[in-house]
Amino acid sequence: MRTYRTPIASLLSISFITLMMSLLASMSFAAPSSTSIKGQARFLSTAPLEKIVGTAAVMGDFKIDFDKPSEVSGTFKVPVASMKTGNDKRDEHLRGSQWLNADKCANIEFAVTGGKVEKFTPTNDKGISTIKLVVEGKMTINCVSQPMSAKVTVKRKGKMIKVGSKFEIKLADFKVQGKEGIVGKKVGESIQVSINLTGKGVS
Amino acid sequence: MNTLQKLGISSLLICVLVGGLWLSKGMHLATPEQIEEVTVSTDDFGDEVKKSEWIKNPDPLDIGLDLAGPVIGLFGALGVALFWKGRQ
Repeated sequence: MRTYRTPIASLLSISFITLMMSLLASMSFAAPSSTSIKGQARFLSTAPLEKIVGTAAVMGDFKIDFDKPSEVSGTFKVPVASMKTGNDKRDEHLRGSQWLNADKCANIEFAVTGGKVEKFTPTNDKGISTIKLVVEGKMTINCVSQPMSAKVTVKRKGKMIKVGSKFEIKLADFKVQGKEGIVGKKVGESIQVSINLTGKGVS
Repeated sequence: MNTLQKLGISSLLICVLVGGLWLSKGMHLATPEQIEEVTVSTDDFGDEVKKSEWIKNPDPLDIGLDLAGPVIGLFGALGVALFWKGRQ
């Protein structure tokens, strides 16, 4: 006995196959989902009268496809309230309106918009692949945004990712003026920052 | 030397001692109430990682100019005043 498929049944089966194929394709070539990363930033101010070391918590989302690393993206946040320098009064001043203005600008943010690969090291015998790149993005400090670039090292091992960077921030670029006469004497005009972040769940 | 002059010299001595202490402790502008304790460990990537934590400064004599300054000023002025008064 011969069976006939109705046009609707044929359409449904074609749709189902198309759906499955696109699902499979998206699984194979899926863009990496962003990974939640966190860690610590260490900052150093060197001025003629004082050297100040501080730390802060850093958190964010980071997305990098090791096949297309230049399409890197992500956002890093440093809550100003988490910044510590070892002296409560100084920390209070740091959060004040003349410095980082924590009441109005609670976070320091860096939004990554892209990057240029400097060096790519394929997966080694320990299962670690490394990319050194210069990321570009927008840094927001004291509610003032400026384009910025920074050298970043990204390492991947299985589903783990590690991001490290060292860069310098000029306080004047972000209109951080401080109390008159302090910047340049007791606080450096530029602050050296190093960050070390890790995350899990890289696809 | 009368009592007032002795007190004046003692005050000036305190002034010099506090100043010396401030100099010997690194001439901090702000008193380091907490100090950075760095823990070095090896992470999953085989890299050496330094993590900082702030702990209470165990050295109560580690003073900054924020404490030393007023003490020096106060005892210095007091010492001069007492010595001056003792001479009259």
